[in-house]
Amino acid sequence: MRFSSISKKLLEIKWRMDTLSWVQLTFTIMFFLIFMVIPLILVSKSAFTDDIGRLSFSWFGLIFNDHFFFTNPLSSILTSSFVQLEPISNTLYLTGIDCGVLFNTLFVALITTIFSTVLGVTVAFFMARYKFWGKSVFQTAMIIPLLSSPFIGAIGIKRMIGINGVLNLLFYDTLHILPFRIVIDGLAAVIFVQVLSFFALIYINAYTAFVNIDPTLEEQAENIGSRGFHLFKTITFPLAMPGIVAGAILTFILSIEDLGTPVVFHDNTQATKLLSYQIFSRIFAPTGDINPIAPALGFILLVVAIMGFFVMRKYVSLRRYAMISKGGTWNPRMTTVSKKRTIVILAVLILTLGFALIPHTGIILLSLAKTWGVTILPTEMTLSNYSLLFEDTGVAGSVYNSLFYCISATIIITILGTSAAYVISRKNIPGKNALDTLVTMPVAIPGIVLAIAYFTTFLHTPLSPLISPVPLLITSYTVRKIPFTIRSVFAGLQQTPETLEEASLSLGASSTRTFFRITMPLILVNILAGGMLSFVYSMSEVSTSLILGGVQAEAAPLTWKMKDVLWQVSAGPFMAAVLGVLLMVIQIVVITTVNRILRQRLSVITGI
Amino acid sequence: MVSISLKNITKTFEKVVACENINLDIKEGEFFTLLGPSGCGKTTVLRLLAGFYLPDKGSIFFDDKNITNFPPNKRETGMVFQNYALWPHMKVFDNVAYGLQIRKFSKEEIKKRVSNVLNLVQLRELENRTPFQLSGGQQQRVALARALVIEPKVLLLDEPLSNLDAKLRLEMRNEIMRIQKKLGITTVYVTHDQEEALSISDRIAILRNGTVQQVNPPKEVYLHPVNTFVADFIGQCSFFPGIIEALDEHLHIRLYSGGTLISPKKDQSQVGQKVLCAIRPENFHLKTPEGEFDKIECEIVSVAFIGKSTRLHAMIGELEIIVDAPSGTDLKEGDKAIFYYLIHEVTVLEA
Repeated sequence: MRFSSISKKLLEIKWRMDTLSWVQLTFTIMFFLIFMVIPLILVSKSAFTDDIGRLSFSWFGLIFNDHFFFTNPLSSILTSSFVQLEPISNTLYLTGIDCGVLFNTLFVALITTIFSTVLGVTVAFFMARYKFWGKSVFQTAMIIPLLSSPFIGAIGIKRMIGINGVLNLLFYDTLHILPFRIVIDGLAAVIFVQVLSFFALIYINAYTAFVNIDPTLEEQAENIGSRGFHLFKTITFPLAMPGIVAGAILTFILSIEDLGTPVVFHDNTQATKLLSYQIFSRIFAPTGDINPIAPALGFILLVVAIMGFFVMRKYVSLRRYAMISKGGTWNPRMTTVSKKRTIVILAVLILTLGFALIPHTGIILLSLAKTWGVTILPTEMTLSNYSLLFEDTGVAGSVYNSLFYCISATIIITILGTSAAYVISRKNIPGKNALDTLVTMPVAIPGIVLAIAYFTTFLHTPLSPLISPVPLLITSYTVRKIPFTIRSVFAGLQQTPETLEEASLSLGASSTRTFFRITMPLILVNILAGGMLSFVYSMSEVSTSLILGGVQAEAAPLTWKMKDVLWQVSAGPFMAAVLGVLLMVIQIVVITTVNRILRQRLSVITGI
Repeated sequence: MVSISLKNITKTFEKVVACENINLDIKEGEFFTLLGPSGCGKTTVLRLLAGFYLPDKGSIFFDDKNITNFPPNKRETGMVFQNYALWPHMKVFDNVAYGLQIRKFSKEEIKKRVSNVLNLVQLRELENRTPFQLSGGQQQRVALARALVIEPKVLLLDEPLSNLDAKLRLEMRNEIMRIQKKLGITTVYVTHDQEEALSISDRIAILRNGTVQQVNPPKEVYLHPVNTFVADFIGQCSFFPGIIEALDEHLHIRLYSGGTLISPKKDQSQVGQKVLCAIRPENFHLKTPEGEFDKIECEIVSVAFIGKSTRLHAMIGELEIIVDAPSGTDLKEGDKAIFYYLIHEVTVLEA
């Protein structure tokens, strides 16, 4: 009985899978095994191995006994303060409180997540539910905050919020609106940068969640007497909750793995006391030397991120319940608001957008600056910085490198991502959910951990980054950015009735022919859109680029070059800003194109 | 043209039994309908025939060839899907020509055959449209043409009319019948619409919870349902539970609700046996009919005018019955009424 049921299962699998699906499945699994699973296992193993190769917790012991990494956060919080008014220069200093690297990382991520969520959900609710004057302008403008990664944002923000930053010069020295100068620095600056980058992501998730709620659900509640805040609390918010929580957890994961911000603010030691930066500073790429504590730190980061990922998956699967209602299309609920309310809404939106635009303003101004003293606008403005892109061999070279790596990665991503999405969506085989988890998981794998894992795994192989970092740079982009394509293609397949393929099979076409003649043309836009998103996010990838790029300057990608000039050259911010603007322009083009071809909101952007 | 036979077919989806031990023999050239409510397993049977599912147990034969493990593309069936499944990225011509291209016909041959089949479904002039530019009925015809053009051994139709409006449905029903009769192709048709099934089929299999209840020509199914489910599903019935009180050339049944009923005799009937009698709403009459008849007395509880007739609900004690009276009737709620029925129109079922 047992045996026959197993052989029946095998027969069923054999019957479902054809040559093409086997090839697709095998390549996907092989790639993820070699370039994600095995490296992560090996790096975790080295975290638990001491100097002479025995199983040991000694590195964790070192970490948890070192006040630099681990202290009682309460004592730090009680003894120091995060705001200080310096009376002589009349300056309010906002810094973080140093609670040791581990708690710093956790607190920064939590605070970032809370602020981003409150801000994102509020704006999303206004946009999804209220009709008010000037709404379409805000709707368009809300795309802009999506266009900055924390790394690019941080470069722009740093110039804006310093003691002689644009904001102080404008609002304190010139307009006298502020009663004192405000300086945000250290961990507080990291939070500030991250919130401005990530709240847009929550906004998109929450907006989609609100818009997707079947209005009859709320109308029914109103019909039996619920209104106002009670309605929001009991019906609207719970229905939108899965989408919002998924966005919030993603923000948390992105925050703990963010390396770009501490790299930009590295001149303040407090800002560097974060896990990602501490791992980064313990790798010397040119020789491949890794401080043995780094894998242990990486392991901690990995475990927290993956736990977040599994909670998020649970919530994403719950998201479906917002959509069980039957019936076709509907018009989302919209309330026209009174004048008074409009003013409140507009004030909130203008303030939010004002903050959200700080990084972009900063980076554009920097890219145009020849010199910039203690003035609101650059002392001398010029377009000549942009000639760097053509004349400076280092800068131009890094742009070409990045284009080459990212296009290569995108090609692999498109092939593997389409294959994976197809198998998951169409082949009902055992282990399908595990496969889905495997290919979505890169969302939660910190780039910095993947990078040291690559060093640990491939250092003594023909793929060694010391021989050439190029193959591993390409595979790291592939692993990190493939979820965007998989999600997009998967969504396309879900929207395409399977009967279209069955009709082809029943007319005598082979599975392979059906895939290329029917399936592929029908989901082509989703493949294109997904590939473009993967491309654009590969271009702005920071953590693996900074480490693998550090091996050979001439093979380094664009983001490594940005960090290099920031740290090494006095005109570095201007040069980095030019590259930042370039990345932003690429993002604008790609995201608006993707929006056009998919004719839907940007929820795919979150990659979940 | 082939005959189809399913032997002991069982198919389970994650512990839900979609069909259980199905045995069916479909004759060459027959128009065979699988009828049942949603979830009865009719579509599962059709998809098993098309090769989209592998059965857990049992085998499927086309003539005497066992095709149980054949993939869909080796079965030579033509399938029309409920949603038509027309490829939106291809024109009507290309949709229809697809199956011929796979069979590697020459360009001229393909052209000829496509225009022939488009003529058959009366769509000759629309071959350069895309599916989006067609109405529901036209899409339906294209789907049919696409399935027929490969001259399949078996034509499979999965609720092909359910997405059409009532009038078009009638028109397409006749169209499908005309084409099927003309080509004489073995056809399996799935529907939940009993009227459609009765009017279109040579034989009907009625399914419930994955098992076959009855396989018979339409008339037989309607007049002699084998059980209460079939009786109730095909048209409506009033049911009279009771016990056999006396036996002569008829059965005399004492009803639990009070009163008696006379019904035709069945082979193994005995006095004291519990039975369930069924009478169709249209088989109650206000006046004495021709032939052997009896009557029941009841009280009208509701009256609903439905156009060609008036539907009455009436009570015999605790038992509710349904009666279709001529639309001119002046019976009202609360009236006492006497209805006559012909004895041979009473169906006796096992209780």
